Amino acid sequence: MSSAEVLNPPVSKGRKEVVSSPQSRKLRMQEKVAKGIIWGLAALTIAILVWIVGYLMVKGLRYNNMTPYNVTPYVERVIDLDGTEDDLVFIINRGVREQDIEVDGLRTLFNKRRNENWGFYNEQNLRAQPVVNENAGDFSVQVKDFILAGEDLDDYRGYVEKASSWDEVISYVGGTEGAIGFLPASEAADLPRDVKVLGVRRKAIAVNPSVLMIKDSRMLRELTDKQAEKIAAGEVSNWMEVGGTDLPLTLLDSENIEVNMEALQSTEGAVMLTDYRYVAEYGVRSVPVLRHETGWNLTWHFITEAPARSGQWGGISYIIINTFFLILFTILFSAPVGVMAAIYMVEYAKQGRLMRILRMGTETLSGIPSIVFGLFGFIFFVRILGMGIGFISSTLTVTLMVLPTIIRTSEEALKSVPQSFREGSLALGATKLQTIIKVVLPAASPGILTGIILAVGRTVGETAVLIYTLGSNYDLVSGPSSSARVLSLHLYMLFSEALSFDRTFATGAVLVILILLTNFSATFMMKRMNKNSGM
Amino acid sequence: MKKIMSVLMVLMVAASAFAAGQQEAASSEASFAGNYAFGGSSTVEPIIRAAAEEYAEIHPEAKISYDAPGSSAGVRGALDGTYSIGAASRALKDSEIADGAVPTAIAKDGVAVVVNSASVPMDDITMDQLIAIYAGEVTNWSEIGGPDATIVVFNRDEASGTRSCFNDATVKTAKKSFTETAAIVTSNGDMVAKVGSTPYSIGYCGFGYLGRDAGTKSVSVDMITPEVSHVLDGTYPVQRDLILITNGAVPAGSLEEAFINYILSDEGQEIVAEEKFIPLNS
Repeated sequence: MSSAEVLNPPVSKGRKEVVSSPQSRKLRMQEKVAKGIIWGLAALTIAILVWIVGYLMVKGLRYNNMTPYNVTPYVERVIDLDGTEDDLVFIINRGVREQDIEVDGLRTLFNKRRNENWGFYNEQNLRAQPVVNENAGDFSVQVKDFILAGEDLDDYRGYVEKASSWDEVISYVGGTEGAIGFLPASEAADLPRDVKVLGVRRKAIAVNPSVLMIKDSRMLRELTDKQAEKIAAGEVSNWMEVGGTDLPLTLLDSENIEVNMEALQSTEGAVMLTDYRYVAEYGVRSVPVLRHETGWNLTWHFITEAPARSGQWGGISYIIINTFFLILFTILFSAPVGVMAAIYMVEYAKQGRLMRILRMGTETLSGIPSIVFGLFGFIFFVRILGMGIGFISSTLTVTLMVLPTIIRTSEEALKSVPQSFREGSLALGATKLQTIIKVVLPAASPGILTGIILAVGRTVGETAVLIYTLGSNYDLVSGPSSSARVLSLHLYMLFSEALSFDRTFATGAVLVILILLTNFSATFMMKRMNKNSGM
Repeated sequence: MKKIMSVLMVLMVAASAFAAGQQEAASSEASFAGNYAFGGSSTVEPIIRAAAEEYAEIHPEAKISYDAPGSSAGVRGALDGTYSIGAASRALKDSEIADGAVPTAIAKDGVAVVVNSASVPMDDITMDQLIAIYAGEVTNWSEIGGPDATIVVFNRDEASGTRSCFNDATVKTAKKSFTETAAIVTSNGDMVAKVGSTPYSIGYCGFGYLGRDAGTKSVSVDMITPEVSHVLDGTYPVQRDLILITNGAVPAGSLEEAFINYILSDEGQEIVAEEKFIPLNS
């Protein structure tokens, strides 16, 4: 064929030259369709995987909540107090992870019967230590009035630390974990590095009780920050517009507080944006306002701090360590036994009926739902052997559960070692034991390791067995009989007790990362072993 | 292989050292040293857990654990010795007192009615409606002025003190009994989590659990909102004392006695308030 013919083949000729029969066209079509379906399904699988892991990770890494407070989200870092010449600044130790606080929280921090814990505000398990300047005179009285408004308290609580100058307050706050104090703004000009300013939220939406009345089985529960802004700007004329009942809205001025408070108390549907202390002082109601809160969920602190208050505060460090202990001891118990059993079954035992039954048994066991093992562990280890709910019972139960997996995979690995290896070794004069230890085991080690890693995976993900045998204590494992929690169990507890969705997801993300790490290290180790064993 | 063996050896040594260290820690002298198992009501759980955590700072040698299988199991556990202190969120039955159970009230609590906030528009229901729903006579929200949807009723398990308290204050007063078709949940936390995630559902939980799950909202009963002040003045219909139970009187000088006294102290009652229950002295 000339090049011209190749480039421009005559149409009629081309038709004749098609060699494919209808049969082969059909086959090619089938091929294409099948390929398309396979590609599509593969893409779908990958998409689902990415979506699940991505969703878990995103939810685990970031939180995004609307939280109701008695005050609006407006933050003041320097507080203008009525009746004092100087403005007021609250300072905290840098170690406290708090940016701003509602004024009611300040009251609790300085005036509870016992030391407040920062956990109530930022989930950081840290005792709050308030400090005051004894010699501040009038300023202190004014602040006390501001903090303790509505309480007829003469003095500070016993645990409040007393300092004798503002400098002393600053150095105390800087040097004490969880410390909080207050200063006149003029003293807070250049604070040392270990002290930071705590913002205060104190503007409340005070309303006439009629606003919160139930009418037609409906009532106003809360406002979003946008709605609160609109009300304050005077753009709302009826409570229905912001989700309340049918009631005209009257916006009152917060100047001349006494007169306007009286008006608030007597006018139906009246509202006033005012300092929260007046809400308590005049006994009016306030509408909760939602604040949009977002930030990192899975932080370094979450991983390294010990859990407290049923896991609502602190982190999950103990729980991660418990998880590793459980894995370690499970593998310690199950791997030697499992591998030896596999060696016996492959190398020594006569392949007869007994072996078939044994094999069927292990296969059945590896397929049994873990809750059944949990039941067995609870009855046998906890009750009959009297070990009690604790670390040793759960480790033994999980050992029983993963043993079949290890035996099965080790057996397959040993079987896949070519017979010629054994023959070669024996021919060189090695004994059977020498052959097994020096030739067969090294060659089979990647497969055996895979089985062990599968067992680790099952242990990490196990929940049902552990509910019955490990208990739910969130302390560090302190002995064979101590009740404990591992990651999966902690996740279950957080979720089923509705303790915190954010923490549930953060724990889930840690689990996902842990399993990814296990898998990566398994692949890595197997590659290395493969190289070494030369298979 | 040698490497693996040596790693195993090191692990064994580490493990035995760990165990030995534990034994040493356990044998350090102190009057309250040992493990103490408390258990019972899931409502009381947050109080005991928080108190035990604070108490551990005073007596670090005493290891206190708490199981939450329900009030009835708590009373039984205290009587048969499984728990040295049981906890219940209901009053003791005569038969239990006859068996030697001794109650100590540590807090007050109300039981609030919660609904799924996204799908149920009502903020108030009457006692009659509540009884009708839980007796299974009303099964659709439209029958009581809501949307046309089947009511998903959540109830607690038989061992629950919250259930027994709710039963006494609602359906029992009308000489009816709970509907058999309700879905059963096993704890207060479970209740709010389920109600929060199930459209058109209704359930009940202790006041302390209100606001735990953003998907739930509490409704008032006969226009009385579930608030502490309404429990204190007796107007709120469903309320109870939370109690700790011991088998006979508490032995003097024991950890149990000290722990109960701690909860009854000002500091302990502050913990009660922190966990959103109502202190006895308020």
